[in-house]
Amino acid sequence: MQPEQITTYRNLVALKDGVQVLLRPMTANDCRALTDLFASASDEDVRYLRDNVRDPAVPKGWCESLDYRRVLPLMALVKDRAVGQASLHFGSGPERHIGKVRIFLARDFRGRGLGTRTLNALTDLARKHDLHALVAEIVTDQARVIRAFEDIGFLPCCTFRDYFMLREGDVRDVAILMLRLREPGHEF
Amino acid sequence: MVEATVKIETYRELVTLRNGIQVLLRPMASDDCQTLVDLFATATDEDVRYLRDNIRDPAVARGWCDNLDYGRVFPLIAVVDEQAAGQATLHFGCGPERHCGKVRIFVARDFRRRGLGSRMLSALIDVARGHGLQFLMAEVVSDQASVIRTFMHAGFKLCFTLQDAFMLPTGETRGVATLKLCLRPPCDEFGMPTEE
Repeated sequence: MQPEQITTYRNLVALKDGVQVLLRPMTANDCRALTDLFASASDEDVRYLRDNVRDPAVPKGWCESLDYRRVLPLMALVKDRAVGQASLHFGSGPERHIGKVRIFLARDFRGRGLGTRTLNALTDLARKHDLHALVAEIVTDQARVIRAFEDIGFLPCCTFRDYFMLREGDVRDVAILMLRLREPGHEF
Repeated sequence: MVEATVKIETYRELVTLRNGIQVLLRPMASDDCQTLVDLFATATDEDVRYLRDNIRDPAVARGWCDNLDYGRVFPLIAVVDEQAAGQATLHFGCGPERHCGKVRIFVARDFRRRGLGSRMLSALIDVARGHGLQFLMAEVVSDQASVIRTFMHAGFKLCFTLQDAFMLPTGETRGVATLKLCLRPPCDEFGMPTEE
């Protein structure tokens, strides 16, 4: 799948309650919408994210350095409002067959099926890029997030002790989950 | 971090191998490109199969020398009579992984099983401790049982193996063993040392 094909990707999904959400690739013009989305992040949300998304410089940096061959970020929009964002990070070198996924949803759009639909969209895009597997790394405190990933087919592979350091310096374990997109080759 | 960076630049260690040969360990510098190219030219097909980069391509070594940043990656070079006998790197984590480092190592074939790898690893462990890292990780393709054993001999413990996580140049996949060395004793919530 070429970057120019990605730019035209659109997917209109209906949530369980009938609300329609447009999924499309993030563009350089999405900075404001992203800043507004992340402004709604709670302290608890930020605690478990890799970046301090409430700092406007973070979404600004993402929008200014878009490279769909490296990271494919999807926006979930209701009218002009961003209600979620997810990204597929392509591996390179010996990990060129693997992608990592991350997702963030506005608080009022959680538990409504948006996460599942967004991850399904990323999974379809990963298949079109011939990836063999998707990986998600989740702090083990977030049992509900882990269950949500398991519900769409991700399997827990292992837990890495003390791998995630919170802002205050405490450490947490990280669960590594994998979704196989194709079966590994076998000798026979 | 600034102080630590200054120490890194001036780091020098002369080590004596089991057979009496003396090896200078020092940080890689931007003018080490040809030395590295010569070192990696000795890599076999089998070596390259399990490395992240095609180190026999001179552009790889050149890229490393052109983009040195000791705050991100600390590369150590082992030198005998102006020839490189090995190279090892400590990759500093960032963000939520700022307490972790990853190590990688390559030793010239005629310097293997002579203690050089262990000496380089010890040097990286010292640098990691100096930076306040809490643990080091090594990711090794699970085919390389002897490399895994060497890391375990140096105190690393096997955490897990991620199946099919490494794709060889041929497109076949292999498992990756993740090994970990704790640089501080793990503590419970009351700060008392615990067993990992």
